[in-house]
Amino acid sequence: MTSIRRPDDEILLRYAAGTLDAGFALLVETHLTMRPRSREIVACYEAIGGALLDEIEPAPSAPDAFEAALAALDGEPSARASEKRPPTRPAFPQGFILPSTLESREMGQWRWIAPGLRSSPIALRGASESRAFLLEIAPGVRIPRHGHEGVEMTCVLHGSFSDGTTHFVEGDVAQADAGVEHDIFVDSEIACICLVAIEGRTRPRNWFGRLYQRLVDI
Amino acid sequence: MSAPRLRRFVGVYGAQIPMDHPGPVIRIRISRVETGMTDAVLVPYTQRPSFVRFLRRNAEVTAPVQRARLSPLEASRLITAIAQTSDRQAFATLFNYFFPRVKAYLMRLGTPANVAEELAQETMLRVWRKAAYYAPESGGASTWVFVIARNLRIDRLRGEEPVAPVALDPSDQPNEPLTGESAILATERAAQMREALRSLSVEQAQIVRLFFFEERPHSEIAKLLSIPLGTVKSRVRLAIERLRTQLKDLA
Repeated sequence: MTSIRRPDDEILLRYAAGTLDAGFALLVETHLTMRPRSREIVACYEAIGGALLDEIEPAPSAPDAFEAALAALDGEPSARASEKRPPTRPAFPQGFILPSTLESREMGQWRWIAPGLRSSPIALRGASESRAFLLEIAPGVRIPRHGHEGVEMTCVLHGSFSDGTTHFVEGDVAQADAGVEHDIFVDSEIACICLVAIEGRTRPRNWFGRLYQRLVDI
Repeated sequence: MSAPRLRRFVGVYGAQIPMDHPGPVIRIRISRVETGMTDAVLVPYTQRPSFVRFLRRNAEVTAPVQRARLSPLEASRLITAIAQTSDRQAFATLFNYFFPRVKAYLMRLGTPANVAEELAQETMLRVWRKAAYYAPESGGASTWVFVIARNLRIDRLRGEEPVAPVALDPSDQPNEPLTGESAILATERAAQMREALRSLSVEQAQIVRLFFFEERPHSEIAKLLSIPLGTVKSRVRLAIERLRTQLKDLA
């Protein structure tokens, strides 16, 4: 279950297939930058994509497709002088390294949820059924028991937490499927910063959870 | 009456034959009721009579086709030739093999034909420009091209600006020239994967294909195949377990 500390194989397969929803895909991609082992598994599943490409029935294409490609090769590649302003992001504690997968993402400022708990939404582009946000949990804080209508995945970026049975450190992913209830306790000396991807709504069991949900659902 | 035709159409995915099927094959065009798109599949000539009758009623059956082939080792060699000597003949061979396949893959996922053509074109341009970054040991040429096409499609879907063609990722390092050993390793992995796919039951293979060709949650796949949700979930689990046992080194 969650003790493998990486997304389950079905999620990794979907990621490799390119059919995983945007929020989860961002989380998996981030996890992969920190876990070579998971990268190997994904590479294997990507090889299925390669095999399917080999066996697919080729589509008829325009007769001049290759000439068009040659013309594009000869043309100067358009060097875009993109002067994008740096994306907004919340203030991070010293020593925190933002994973490369999140560098170009727009994020909101920290929003207070409860004592010791703040969140920052991450903008996902295009249609998405899932949402992604950063969650900062102060040392010693416990997020009370909550269930889920859909899958919730949490990737530790900084610090560590425990769900009672498993200890999660940087790069680890805790996956809670629909119907699973869990609680989270930060056992690191530093604040724990997690990337969370979630589909559906959380099912709170108390006032704290309702507050958490209200802010997380924005 | 679109629902029954669609269901049956999906059934044909499972009948798609592996690349090295020895017998004669027929190409079948089936218009997809849902999107109005036309798709083509290859099936072995010998089929259950009821299935063949169904195809006659619902599909336009065309003549047997010859498959183009490109061995994984040859494909790796061609990419290396592009990287080392900007070999246009090598590019032409790769283009002829991959362009129609990438286009077909994108259309399977519901990409309109003109967009699929454009993205397939961009995929091939990246093959040319990024040839020096090709790492054969990570799964072979087809896998590399698949990943390029997959990522371009996702970028397009999410409305992300395409990365400037020459602005290569600074973390990328050009690869050492292809050694015989790593090329063979890649070929082995690709062959291993094909073997693993073949070891799946028809139902399991169908589910795995749906992961790659349909962006649907389980509940919709269940409706599509007219099987209970629990069955979809257990097939997914079994298929993945099966793949994993085949790929023992990754257990």
